[in-house]
Amino acid sequence: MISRDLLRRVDWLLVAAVLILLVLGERAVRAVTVSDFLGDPGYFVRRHIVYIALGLVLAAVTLAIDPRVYRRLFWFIYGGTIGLLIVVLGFAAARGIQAWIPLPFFTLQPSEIGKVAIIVCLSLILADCVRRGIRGWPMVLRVALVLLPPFALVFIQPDLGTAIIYVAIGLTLLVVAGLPGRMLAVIGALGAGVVVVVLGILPSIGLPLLRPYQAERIVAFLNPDGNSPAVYQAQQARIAIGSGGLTGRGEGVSQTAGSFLPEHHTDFVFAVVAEDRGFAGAGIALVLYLLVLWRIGRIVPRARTLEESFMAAGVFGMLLTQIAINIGMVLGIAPTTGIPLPFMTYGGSNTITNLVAVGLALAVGARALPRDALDPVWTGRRGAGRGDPDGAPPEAA
Amino acid sequence: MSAPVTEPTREHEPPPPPPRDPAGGFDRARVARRMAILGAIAIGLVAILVLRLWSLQVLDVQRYRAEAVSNGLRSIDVPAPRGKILDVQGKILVGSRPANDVAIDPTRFPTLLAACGRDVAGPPDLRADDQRALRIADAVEAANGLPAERRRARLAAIDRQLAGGASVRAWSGCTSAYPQLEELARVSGVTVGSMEDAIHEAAVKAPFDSIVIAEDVDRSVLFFLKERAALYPGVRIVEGAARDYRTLRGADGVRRPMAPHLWGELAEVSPAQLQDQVTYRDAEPGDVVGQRGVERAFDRYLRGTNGSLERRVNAFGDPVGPIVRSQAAKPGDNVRLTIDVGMQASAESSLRDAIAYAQAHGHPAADSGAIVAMDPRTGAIRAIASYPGFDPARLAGPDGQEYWRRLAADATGSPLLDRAMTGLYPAGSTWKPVTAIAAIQARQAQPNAVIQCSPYLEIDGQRYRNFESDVDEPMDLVTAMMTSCDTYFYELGRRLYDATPRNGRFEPQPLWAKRLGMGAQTGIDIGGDAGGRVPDAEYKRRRFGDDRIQNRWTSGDAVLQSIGQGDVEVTPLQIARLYALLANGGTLVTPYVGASVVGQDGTVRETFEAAPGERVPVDPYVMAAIKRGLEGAVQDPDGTAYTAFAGFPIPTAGKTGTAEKLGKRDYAWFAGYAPASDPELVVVCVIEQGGFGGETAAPAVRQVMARAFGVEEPTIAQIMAAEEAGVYDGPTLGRDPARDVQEGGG
Repeated sequence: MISRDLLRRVDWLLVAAVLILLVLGERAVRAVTVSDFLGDPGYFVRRHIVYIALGLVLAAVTLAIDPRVYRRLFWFIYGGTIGLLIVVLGFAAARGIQAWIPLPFFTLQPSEIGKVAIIVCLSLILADCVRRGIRGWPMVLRVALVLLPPFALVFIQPDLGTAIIYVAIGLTLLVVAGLPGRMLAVIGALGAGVVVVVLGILPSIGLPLLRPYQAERIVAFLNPDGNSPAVYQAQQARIAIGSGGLTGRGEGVSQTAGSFLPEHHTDFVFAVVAEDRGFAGAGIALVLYLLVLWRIGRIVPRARTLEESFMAAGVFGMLLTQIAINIGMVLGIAPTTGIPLPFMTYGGSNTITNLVAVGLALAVGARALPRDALDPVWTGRRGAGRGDPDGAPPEAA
Repeated sequence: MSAPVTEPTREHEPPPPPPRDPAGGFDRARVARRMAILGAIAIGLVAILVLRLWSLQVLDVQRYRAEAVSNGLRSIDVPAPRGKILDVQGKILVGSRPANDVAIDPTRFPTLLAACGRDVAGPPDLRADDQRALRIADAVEAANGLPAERRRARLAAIDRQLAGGASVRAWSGCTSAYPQLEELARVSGVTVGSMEDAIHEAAVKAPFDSIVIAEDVDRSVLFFLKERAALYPGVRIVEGAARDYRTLRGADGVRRPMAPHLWGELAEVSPAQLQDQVTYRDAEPGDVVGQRGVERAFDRYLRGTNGSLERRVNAFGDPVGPIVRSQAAKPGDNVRLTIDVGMQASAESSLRDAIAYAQAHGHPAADSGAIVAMDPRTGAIRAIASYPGFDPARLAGPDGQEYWRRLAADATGSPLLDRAMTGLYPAGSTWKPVTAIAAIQARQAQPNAVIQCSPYLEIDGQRYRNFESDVDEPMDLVTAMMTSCDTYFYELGRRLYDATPRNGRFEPQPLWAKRLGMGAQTGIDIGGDAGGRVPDAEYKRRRFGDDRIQNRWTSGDAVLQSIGQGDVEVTPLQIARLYALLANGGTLVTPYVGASVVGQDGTVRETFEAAPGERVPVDPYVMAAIKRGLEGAVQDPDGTAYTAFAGFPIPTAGKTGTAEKLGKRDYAWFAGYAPASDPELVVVCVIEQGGFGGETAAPAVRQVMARAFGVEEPTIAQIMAAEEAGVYDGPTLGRDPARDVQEGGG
């Protein structure tokens, strides 16, 4: 399935970084869920390991698939995602969100799968735009049109966090596709305006678009000494992280294991790492995330085609946004949103999705041009002239 | 192409569309620049996170470490397992088992507290203040969006209630701020109201403690809470203890708890109870103690000593990690009773079956009753039953309050009433030995002297009818007792009335009745029995005050009292004591149920001796005559209980009674002892509205005695079943003389 040649071209550094992060996450989930399910200390961690294994297999499959196949599958991927996102609205809500489709052994969260689907679909659309010379606002419009249905469906679940990720993927791709800086600035200003309207103006005229708990989280973020469950969560996270110190308190005797911190194995799993392993462990995790981002980012300009370049960029954007918002939230410098931490948070859909996304980046990278085959223009002045003319892409205009 | 990726690539592809962008738009240099910007953003963001992590974990570590430590250490009371209650042979009557209680700590419900006015509560030392309750109530109303003028009206109403001493549910409606609490109430089977009461109590009386809102909940509640831990931050499961009550399968196949009236409830010790250092020796605030019955009387043995331990707990108070310091709980001792499980079972099933039998044989109103079985030599209670009963486990369970209300509202059966100890009944003919003793000791009658047993007796212009209207023959005491002739005893009553000194200081009959323990508490070790009433001149004065016609002791009073009627009220336990005295030859024993205290290791710690009986000065020849009469009543073919005891191998003595109560059908009584020559057991049975005592009460007593003496006999239930099947050819259980019921007993 996967040729030896392809295996040789896999970025093993990226794979190693992801594997270490997976192990860190598994240790954290194991440590804090021992007493979460009465009578079965391994309940959560066993499932988590199964999810990881499943995710690794699917990542390998993704690696084996030539990304060019996706062009033919565009409508299947896009339509399937929209279909699942509609179907999920028919199922019962958990924690007030209709995001899960119950399957045997597993509850499927289509919005998570949607992240990768959106990366693939947007990349194909954007590549077409670029090729046909559609630039500027028309390009933004097309991206927006592709994004709007999944975004709307996720927003009404309501899963604000995932909706934000979708937008972030779109923005990342627009940046990479070369949307002029001033247009990006306009989009940014528009986004800020929407936030002000949704948070400030709409509630004051009696049209609250956000659910009460969402508003409460933002209020809690702005007023960290207030008195609400969201504040409790943030306070407990701060106590857990702060008590970790430089080297951590070890597994199992901690705040997070003692259930003082709700959601310790899901969205707040980084607090567990920070408490159990201290600044050393959490810092290493952050460095590993940076390593993952770097290895994915360096694929982007080398990709075989524009689509594949965008796919790698989309994975980069998705991971960066999730990591930054999740850890920012855990550390109390971003408001609480339901965004999982890639490779660490317990859960089937997100674990598998993120691993498949890495698989996609690996697939692109393994089929990319070798570094020394690249055009000196983009490999930098230092490498000028060393490129192999045979593999060099045509000169830029 | 030096990139041997997988398959042939560009060369074989059709040429890209319009050559405006020859690279297929892939401007790698620009992509690389843009990617570099994104990379810089990534580095910037991660740098911010690292700095924040540094500030939290390295700069502020001391502060957060301290918070984490105080967060996680808690001193936990370890409740001592309560001792078991055993029967005379050591079989478990009431066991002890661990239970799961749901406790709530309102301080962990920040929104709830904010919505319900904890913020306006002020300093904790004001917490019990009415003013504070009012302020909380006001905040609640405000939180519920009540307009100001309606709030003022509500507050005025609450203020009036406070002045009247009624408790205020200031937290009423609070749970609406946390809808999941209503869900919890539903799952754990408590009402939202009682949950709010608990929250109120937790917040107002003990603001830093959690409070138990549901005791002994099902495991499903446990799982419910575990699964939704994040939704219930202040709710946790605490270890509690629950009682396991022995049950008995009835003839209908239903299991019922045994002797539910005997045990008494458990509840947290009250401040007043803490003052009682005899009953509640060494009790500490928060301890759960017995409130009544055996649990109260032997609480100091059963309770044990709570232990404590300091350990790391998680946010829900569930212990995790090692114990820091601990002091083991000392389990309570077991208490062994004089009750015999076999006899108790027999008493309860006999009682139920006898009531069912009465209902099926012309006494449809029969619905309740009591049986007492006692050792006449010592006063040791062997069995004590009251019907209908209830389920003490359910009373202690989550819906206990609701269950109690329902039981208490059950006016017809009043299942909460312990009829054996506190049921007050006219004694009917079981009283006749009292009259006989009084008359003979007062020298107004002789056992051998013959008195005409006529269909009626006219005294002071009032006609008093005999129960059996066609009898008209002379009788001595033995025969009169045996056949339960009313007119004989009317005559004794009249003579006693005539012998009453004119100064009215005392009346021989009430005096003797009281000497024989009638109308007074028996002094039973577990207490709680009723006194009752023996009417006398003093009683009439008190009752009728200045009414010159009514307030005197009259011949009518004396005559009615001679057959245990006329406002006489006694408990079955008192009648058992009376017949124990007759059986043992004149000693008034003190009933008791506590036999000994047995440690958990089986060693006997303390033995309760029977209290020395009180010798009542009754002449032996009087006793002998009465006993002959009681033996005749059971053994002579003319005796009122002859049919009921026909063929019973143990010689038995006893007395039937058919007592009248205004507005009710006749109450059936039987009191007897066996073996007649050397009595070892007294059994008394009363069945409310059960009709003739020889018909319904006596067979029940026979069944208990059969069990006690190991006589193999069909039970009442078996006989009834045989009757229904049409295969019963034995005699009817008891004989109803079926004479018209007039004044007096059978």
